Amino acid sequence: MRRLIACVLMAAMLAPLGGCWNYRGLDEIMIVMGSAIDKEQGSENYRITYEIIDLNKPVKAQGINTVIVSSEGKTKFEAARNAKKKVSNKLYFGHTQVFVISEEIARNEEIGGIIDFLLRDAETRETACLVVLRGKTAREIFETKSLSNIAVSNEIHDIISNDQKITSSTLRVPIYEIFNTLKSEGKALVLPAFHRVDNNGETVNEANGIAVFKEEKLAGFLTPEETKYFLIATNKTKGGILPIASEKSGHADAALEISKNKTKLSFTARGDKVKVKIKTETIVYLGEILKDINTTDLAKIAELQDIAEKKLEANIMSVIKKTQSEFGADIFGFGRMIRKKDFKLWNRLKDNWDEQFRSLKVEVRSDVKIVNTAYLMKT
Amino acid sequence: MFRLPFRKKQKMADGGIKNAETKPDSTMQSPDSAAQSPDSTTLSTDSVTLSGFLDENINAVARLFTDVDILRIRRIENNHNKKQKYAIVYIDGVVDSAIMNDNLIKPLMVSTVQTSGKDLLDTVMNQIVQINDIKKTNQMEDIVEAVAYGDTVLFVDGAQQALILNTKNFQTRPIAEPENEKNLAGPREGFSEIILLNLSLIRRKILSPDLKMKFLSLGRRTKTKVCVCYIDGLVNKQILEELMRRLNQIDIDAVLDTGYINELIKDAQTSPFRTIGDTERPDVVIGNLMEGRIAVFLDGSPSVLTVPFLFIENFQSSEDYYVSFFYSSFMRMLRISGFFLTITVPAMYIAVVAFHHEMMPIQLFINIASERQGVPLPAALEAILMLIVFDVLRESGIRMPTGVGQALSIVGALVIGQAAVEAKLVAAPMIIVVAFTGITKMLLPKMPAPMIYLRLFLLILASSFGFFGVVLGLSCIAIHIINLRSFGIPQVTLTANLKYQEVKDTYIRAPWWTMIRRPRSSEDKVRQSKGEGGHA
Repeated sequence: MRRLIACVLMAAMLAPLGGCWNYRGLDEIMIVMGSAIDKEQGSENYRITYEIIDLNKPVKAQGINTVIVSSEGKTKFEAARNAKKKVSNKLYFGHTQVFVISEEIARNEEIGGIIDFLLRDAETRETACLVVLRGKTAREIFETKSLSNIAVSNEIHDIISNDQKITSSTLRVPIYEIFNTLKSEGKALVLPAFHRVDNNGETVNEANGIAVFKEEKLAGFLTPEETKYFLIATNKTKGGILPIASEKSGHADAALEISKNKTKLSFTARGDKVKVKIKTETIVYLGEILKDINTTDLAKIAELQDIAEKKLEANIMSVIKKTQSEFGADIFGFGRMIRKKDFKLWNRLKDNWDEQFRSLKVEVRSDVKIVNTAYLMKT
Repeated sequence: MFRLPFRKKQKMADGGIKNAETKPDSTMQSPDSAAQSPDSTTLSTDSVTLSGFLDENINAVARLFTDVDILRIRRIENNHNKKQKYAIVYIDGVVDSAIMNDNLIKPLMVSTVQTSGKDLLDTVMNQIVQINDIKKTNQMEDIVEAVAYGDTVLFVDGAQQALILNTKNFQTRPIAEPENEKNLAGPREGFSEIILLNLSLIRRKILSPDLKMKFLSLGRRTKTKVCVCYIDGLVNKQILEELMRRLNQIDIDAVLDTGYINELIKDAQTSPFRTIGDTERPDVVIGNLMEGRIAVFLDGSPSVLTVPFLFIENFQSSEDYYVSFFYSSFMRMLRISGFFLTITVPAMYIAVVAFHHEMMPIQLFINIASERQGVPLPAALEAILMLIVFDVLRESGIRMPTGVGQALSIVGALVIGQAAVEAKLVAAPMIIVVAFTGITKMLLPKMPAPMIYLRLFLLILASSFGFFGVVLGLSCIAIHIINLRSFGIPQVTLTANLKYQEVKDTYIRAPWWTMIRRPRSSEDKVRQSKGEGGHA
């Protein structure tokens, strides 16, 4: 009997201990795959547009369909809840993969204020991405067609996630990382940027480099090409193509595919004068070459490596120069590196680090190794 | 110590009960007082002894078996000496007529041996009757039991005792492989309902005289024979004593199957888990005996109990020891995971579908959500209903006539499966979950009861509290299992007490050459005295 009472009491304890979750059937929710945040022209209201999985059409027969719903509110969170006025069930953000903001919002509002309601909400995944869409409004992103995936939001998420391995044209920045970057010193925020392009008569989304933020507001964009060298310089690339010219002068007629890249940052300081050194070690495959060269000739390979190194150094240098002159935002994290390695120096530098960054001396040393040439021969 | 005159004790109980109608306090009285009770409607056999007169004895027997029309009494006279009169009493159908005619009736009729005086019975026994097993008795109770059990009783005129002659000839089922314990490798024998036959299957495989077989009888009215079987030197004496104590405490009028004994003597009587093993395979019993366990046979039951029982035995099969240890180790782990899957899968499904949507991969999530669309019942109720439907199908499948089999599978598979999904009464993923649960359950045919209840228990917890409930339920189950004991032996050994040798036959089945020790509950722990390494 005592045991029975103990069991009943134990079961009763479950109810308060169970936390705040409750039974919510799958038919009582609307699965939001992505949302776009806009600010209405000439009003204070936010307008959030959601891409929602349409479960009323059988998935088996027709594949997955989506419906687009939008709602307005004075704050972003209110707007999110206001969507309930239009649809029967509560929106479910647990599987939301992408949040899109327009160029305009990114330029005029602090990014911290935008991600605040996403981080506070219990449902939202902190691994979701925040994307800047180039153009007038963010909701335009859902007016495109998804080429390969169940929903536009999913496709954008997958494009971003797999990009660093293949093309290195943009960068995946989960929401929690945005928060971490904003709250730490010595590194400026970048976000993936997308634009809409025409593909055989249909409008689709394409990864389009990264958006550079200075003090939580959009400062400008890096092109996909520049992004590649930015990723190499920040040790984030896992693949991508380096086009080079096989002769000292001439146009690009060979392509090297990055297999592995390792970049080390270091600095030397004389007083408060800092000089940053970037050392990259890249292992590449020879993927394409138009000129008929003997790939078994080590001297020729060494020559190609030399050309690639020079080219890589120049390109990284030009990206750094552009960032220094146009944005003045330390997206490479030089400041963070100095803070880690010499905290006292950083304490002296940090107050006017932005100015320092603009005139910072940077030296790039690249080392390229061709390890795989795929020898072709006539048989 | 269990050689105590068990029969006497039974007799006491017997008399007591019969007397109970008139004198409820008489249970502790001696058998004699019971016999002298004035209750004349029930003829008591207790302490009724035989007289020297043939007619009197026959009448006494006939009176006891009033209205038992299959009793046969046959009077015989010797044709050389008409004064030598005999009577045989037997029950039709359980005796061997050929033996009776050739070895009993014929010698009695034609024998020229002169019988007389004091040695009358001995002369008949030693010189005339040609039967292997003969017992002398003057107790009417023994005579009744012997006749009922297929023996023949020979009354000799002038003798105060009768002879019990072995003429048993039961019709029995052939020794066949048990239906619910089929193996692909190893012996194909299975026990049948005759206890002596069952014991012979054990005896002929263990030739050592250390194999002991102790007979008792259980059931006030059925007087069913029970045999406790163990190997002296391996058996743990304390467990044996405890078993005998519990067996002697049984006070029930009929024991028809070892299931009765199992429930009457088991530890943790309210637990759905087994704490006493049962099997129909002789090789399993022998394997258990060789590990120092005790087997309990019951006449009329093909299943044999083994004690003590360890939890891991739920997952062991005798085949494990006959095939490659690579294979059987894998099967062991499969069975163990099958147990956990079959009790947790419905609960996990409900927890994920109703509480923790974020735990599913997106594509799976959308597929399930789309299937759930338009289904009227909430997922948890649906799960409980479908599990019950599955058990209905299974149960009806066991007992239906063979010809109906096809109809059932059509009803089960098409109507309940396909049509219910198409009519949007049940979501398709739920059918998959229930089917998977049902199939994994078949991995462990020996523990249906815990599975059904634990599954529902976890399911209800999951539908109220999500994974939190599942984890809590699993912890409760773990605590319960750890607390289970079988005759003083813990069912599960905690890691604190674990010995290397004992793990070798649990999650994996180690090769025979490494299993050099017996389980700790047995007396003699050395299985292979050469030590590790086998053919070194």
